[in-house]
Amino acid sequence: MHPVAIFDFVTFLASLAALAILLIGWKRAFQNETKFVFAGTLIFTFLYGLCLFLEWSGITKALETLEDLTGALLPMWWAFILYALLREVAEKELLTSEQKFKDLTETTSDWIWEVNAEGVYTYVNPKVEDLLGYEVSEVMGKTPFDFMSEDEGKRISRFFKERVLRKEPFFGLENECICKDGREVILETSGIPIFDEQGQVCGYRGIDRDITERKKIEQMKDNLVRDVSHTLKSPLATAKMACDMTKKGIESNDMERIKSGQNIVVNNIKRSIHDIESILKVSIVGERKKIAEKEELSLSAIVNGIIEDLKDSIDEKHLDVKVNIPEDADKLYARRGEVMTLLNNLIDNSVKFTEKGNISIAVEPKKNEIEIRVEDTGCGISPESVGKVFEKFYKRHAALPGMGLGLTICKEIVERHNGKIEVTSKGEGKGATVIVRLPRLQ
Amino acid sequence: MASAKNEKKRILIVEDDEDMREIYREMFENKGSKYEIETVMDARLGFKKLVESKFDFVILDIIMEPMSGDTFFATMKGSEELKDVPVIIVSVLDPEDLEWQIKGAKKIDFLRKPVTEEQLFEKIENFTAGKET
Repeated sequence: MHPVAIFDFVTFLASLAALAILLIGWKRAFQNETKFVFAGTLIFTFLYGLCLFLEWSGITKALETLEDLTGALLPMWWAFILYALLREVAEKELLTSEQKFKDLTETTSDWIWEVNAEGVYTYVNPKVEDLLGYEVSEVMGKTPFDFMSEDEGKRISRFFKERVLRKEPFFGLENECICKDGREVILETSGIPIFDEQGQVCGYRGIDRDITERKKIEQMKDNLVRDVSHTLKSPLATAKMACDMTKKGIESNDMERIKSGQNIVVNNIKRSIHDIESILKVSIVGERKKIAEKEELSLSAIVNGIIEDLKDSIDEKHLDVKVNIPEDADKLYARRGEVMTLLNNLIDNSVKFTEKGNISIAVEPKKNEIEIRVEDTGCGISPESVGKVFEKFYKRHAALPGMGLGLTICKEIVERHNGKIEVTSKGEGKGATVIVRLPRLQ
Repeated sequence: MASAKNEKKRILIVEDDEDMREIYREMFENKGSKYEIETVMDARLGFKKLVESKFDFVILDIIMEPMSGDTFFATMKGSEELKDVPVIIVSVLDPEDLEWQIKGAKKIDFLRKPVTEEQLFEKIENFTAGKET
């Protein structure tokens, strides 16, 4: 056979193969240009094949020019087919990745956005409604600064402009925004620049998340740590000053001073230890402690002892303290230390929070339990606070001393004895009443 | 407001901690005739006393209840008659924590607890001499 003939034949077959591949790929959607590519390739392949056939079969050699022409152009058509196939693959990949993007942006819990170089939103995912209460349509075309207070808007817009100039991304920017319903939220924003072909910043894209809760908790934690530290520091500072007193007493051989100083040191160290134990008690979940034995107690003895300890405060404020514990309500079978703490906290609270007037402590026997009532004419508790008094570390104002554990501990003690405790108040300035019910055990 | 050198200075101490009150009493006992002190455990009582009689200055603890020291202080400085009475705040708190409360207030100084007798009286002397920080 003619050596060139093999070459011609192979060319023809290759063309058929290219057509076949295109047909297989065409099952899925193709651009309209593919029809043109297919038609063109088909026509040229057919013409080429026809010329080859006519030449080999000896019928005529007149179409030699056409044969050369079509044969030479066939590679061009193969290139078009290759292009069409590659374009199809690229389109498919783009669609998949677009779908991926859409799925992720619509299911993520973060608000995803895009802005142009002026900061105007060009894309926001539906999550914006959860964060700010505004629908996508209400946000598009606006800037983030439109959802902030005037000052905050100025600050953030300045920050944004500067970033655009520097073409830099930013992370973890905290900003305060105002929701549709007027609520204020704190958002954490991160964004990276989008560049155009000239390398200029044409926009930013990024995410926002709501960190209001987190900030609140951080603030609470800071307040808590501060309160606890100050409460613990206070008696120790007093003890140190009492040591100075003792030292001066030793220098001047003043027995009185030495004794006074010593007493104060000891008392305050005890206070510190007690405070630390209180914190441990309420802070460690599932703390297993040795439970003391129950014994028969005299409530009147305990109450009178507490009032004696608080004598100074009571006298200075000229408070009238009434104790009403009848004989048949005096005895209680319970753990002494806990009952003393319970009553001490309640009576001490009343004394602390009552400027003038009276405090009454009464015990009444009921069917299977005894009811202890501590009532005062003090500054009372507002309706909003009444539900929180038993919370750990809750204080009405941050400036009040202590760690806010007094009533928390009372509640735990009462519940450990299978009792109930209740705090009521008619409002601020109208006094408060604490009622404790403890089961009687013979 | 010049006072003769041998006139006793009257100091009001507002401190709710009994032990601290005793320590203050001890400290001032040594100084004998120079100072006359009155101690109260309650900010409201302290305010009453301030209005009733004249004091040369006030030593104040900032964390008390039910009226906290900073309310007492704010009330004092807001009152025409009392705003010029010098105040020394003695507290475990850092001065930075109290900055917002004492910002811009005149005639006020601060001591961090624990203080020594020397530190306390140095501050008092400074106040008497008219120097304040």
